[in-house]
Amino acid sequence: MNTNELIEKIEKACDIDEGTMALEDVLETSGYWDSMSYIIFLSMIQQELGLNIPASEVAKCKTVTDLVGLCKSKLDV
Amino acid sequence: MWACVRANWMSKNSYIVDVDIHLPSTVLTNEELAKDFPDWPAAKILAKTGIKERRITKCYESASDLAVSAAEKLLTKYDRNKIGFLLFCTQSPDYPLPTTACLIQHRLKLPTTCGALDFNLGCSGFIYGLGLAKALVETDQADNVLLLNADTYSHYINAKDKSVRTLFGDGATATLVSSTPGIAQIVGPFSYGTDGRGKDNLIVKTRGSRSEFVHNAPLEVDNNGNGRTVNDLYMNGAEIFSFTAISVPDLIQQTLKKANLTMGDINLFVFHQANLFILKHLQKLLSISDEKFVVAMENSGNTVSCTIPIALKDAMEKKRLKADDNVMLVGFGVGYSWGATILKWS
Repeated sequence: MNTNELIEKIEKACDIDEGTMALEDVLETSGYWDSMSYIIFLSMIQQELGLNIPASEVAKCKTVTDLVGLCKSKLDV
Repeated sequence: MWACVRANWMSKNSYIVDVDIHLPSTVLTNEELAKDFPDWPAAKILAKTGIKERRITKCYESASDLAVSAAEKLLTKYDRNKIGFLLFCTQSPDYPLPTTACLIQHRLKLPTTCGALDFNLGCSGFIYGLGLAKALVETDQADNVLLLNADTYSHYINAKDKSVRTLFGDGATATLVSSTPGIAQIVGPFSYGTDGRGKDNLIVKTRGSRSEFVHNAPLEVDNNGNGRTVNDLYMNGAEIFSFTAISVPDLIQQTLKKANLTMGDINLFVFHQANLFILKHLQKLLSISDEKFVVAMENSGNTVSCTIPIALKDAMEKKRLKADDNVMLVGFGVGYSWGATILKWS
């Protein structure tokens, strides 16, 4: 799965329009990353990518780049 | 052979005789919550949580008051003098001591030959209570066990914290567990699990002996705009979701293996009604059809250890249970603590 496909999935989890998320976005100040999108993201990666990433690992992500990188690192294992 | 048959005939098997519910009279609707949280309209609260309204106790109402009301409903149909043991599951006891179950024994006028104990568990509490009741009944320590579940989380919730105020409701259930000599197993097997590393993710940090209630504690507002003090209930929703999504599928497989059953053998799944999003996630993950999956929290919310008996009662009233159905009950949450069992319905 490439970076753009992962971003599309994260955009869907955050309920924002396709193409509005940028890799350099800082999650905390992005305006779309709240407690609910966090949970929807965890749900999405388990159901669609088969990834069980603990919330504590996602919590360490500061930017969209970090989120994408975390997913890629788990998919590569 | 004869001895074996005789042993089976003599053995006792526990079963759920009846369940009754009591919810407090004060209703907290999504419309009222939306006034306090304008960024969460009523429709959005319903869509995200699956809850339309929850019942809230008044400040002077305790979990034991709710439990007594639920028990009184049940005991209009059964002889209270035959109750041999009272189990009270709560995280809202009347006092640090004495044991609230002792006070309830007196209020219900149960015989003084009745054993009584409290146990402190949340969302897994009904499963653990059934396990304890089964053990008491099947080892001849009591013929009839009254299992009471009740909580008043609203007393721990800050009015400015939408993350928990939209979810939790107060309530109580009363379940009668009794024995039936010589019939096939009805309650069990059980699987349990515990991981105390999750303690900080759903917690009331003060009010116990580790840390006393802090007077004039300052309000702290988190990144999502939820306000609470150190005395209030705190929930890390993402961590709780993560724990649930990882632990529940394993728990179900363990329990099926013990029962020598498969997912296809289960006729109805009754999960802890945490919130609609978690329930739908688990349902999809486990490929459970709507016909086999109970969602019953719209008018009561997440009532902690009461959600499973409330959902079970809902299924009974809607005639979703037939004789010989296999019913899987699954509880998970605060602690972390989790447990599951399978009922052979009769």
